[in-house]
Amino acid sequence: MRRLIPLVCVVFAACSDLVSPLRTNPYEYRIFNAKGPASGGVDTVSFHWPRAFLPVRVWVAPGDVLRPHIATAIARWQGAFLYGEFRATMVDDSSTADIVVRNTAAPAGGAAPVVELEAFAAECRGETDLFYDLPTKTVLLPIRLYVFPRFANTPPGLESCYRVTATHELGHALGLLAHSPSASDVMYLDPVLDGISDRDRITAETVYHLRPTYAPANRR
Amino acid sequence: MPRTRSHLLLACAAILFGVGPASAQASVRLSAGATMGTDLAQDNLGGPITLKPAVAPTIALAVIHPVGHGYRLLLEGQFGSSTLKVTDNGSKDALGALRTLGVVLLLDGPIATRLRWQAGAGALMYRPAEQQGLFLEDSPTRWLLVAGATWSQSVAAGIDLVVTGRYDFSTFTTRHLDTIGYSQFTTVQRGGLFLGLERSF
Repeated sequence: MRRLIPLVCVVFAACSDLVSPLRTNPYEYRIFNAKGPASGGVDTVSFHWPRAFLPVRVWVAPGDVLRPHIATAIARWQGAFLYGEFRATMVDDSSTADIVVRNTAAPAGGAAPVVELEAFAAECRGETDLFYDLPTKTVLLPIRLYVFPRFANTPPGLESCYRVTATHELGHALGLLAHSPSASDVMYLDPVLDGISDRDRITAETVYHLRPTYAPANRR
Repeated sequence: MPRTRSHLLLACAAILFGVGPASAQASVRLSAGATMGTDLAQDNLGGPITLKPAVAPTIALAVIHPVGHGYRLLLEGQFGSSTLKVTDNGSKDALGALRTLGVVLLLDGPIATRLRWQAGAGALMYRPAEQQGLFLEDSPTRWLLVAGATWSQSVAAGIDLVVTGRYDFSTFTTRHLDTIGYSQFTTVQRGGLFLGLERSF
């Protein structure tokens, strides 16, 4: 019997595998668009970047103050995934970008249906505009991100605000379309968390492993 | 006492007490080949996910020291590089390069004239090109158990052509997996085939 113990240990080890943790309490990441179907009903909008589109190409003007904060935001969100579900890279040519980031206020709405997702931090504001095409169920690229100061002067916390808001807006652009109800998540409407929470990470993983209702299109 | 067991005890004693080469010579072996292995991770997030390195071209350099009675001690360093591949609910993707560096200590003994066995242990260091995903917080080093066999043929004075078949066994997890609540580990089994030249001194 004693001789069997090492054998049992070897068999157990040979069959061992990673055990996943429970992924509990993701927040609602979809938006329910009342302007959706012609019937007047509600259209559920969910979206994520398919692997064929990775790495997602992000453009910020060279020398723009947002550039390091967008780089931080990309690193944070990439770090939220275990299996490379979201990857992004900065590109120099805005005409080939999937996401265009500007340090200005968003212009007034265009002709196409647009989902506007905003963040209101103390020193700066952010907005993500997703243009979508209802009949083809596609999000028209590029997605546009705006992160800009709320006041004309430069308040002391502006850099930190840029970093938090860039992370928040990039969260929208990768598919977290709704806001978290909790202030401890970076996807809260008025974000204060300088990073991403476990719930942000779990919700992002959820987005990337459920079938979206919209797909990106019009890549240049 | 059976003959093989006495040989093994003598070899161990020779290693422990620093007995030098008896009649055989020290040698160096340079090999090249390929290593393939089982999944590093298997998960289920809305569907099955597997993470696995592709077949890795590998080079190995071994310093071989005879310890008497036909046994030899090998200290070998291996370097391999391949692409980390993920299959996520049926869709495949490549996640950049994954380099491995192995250092193993092997005891090598005769089976037949040209055929030898080898067994030992060592460490396997994973060095991903990017600190992302599972490797976000570290580039892990794991213990390794190794077994294999070699076939050799003399091709010139003091030079042998050596074919090595190798199997190794290790476990895999990372600090980041631990941080986010994963438990246990994946067992990783790898096989390799190498062709090398051994030079005696």
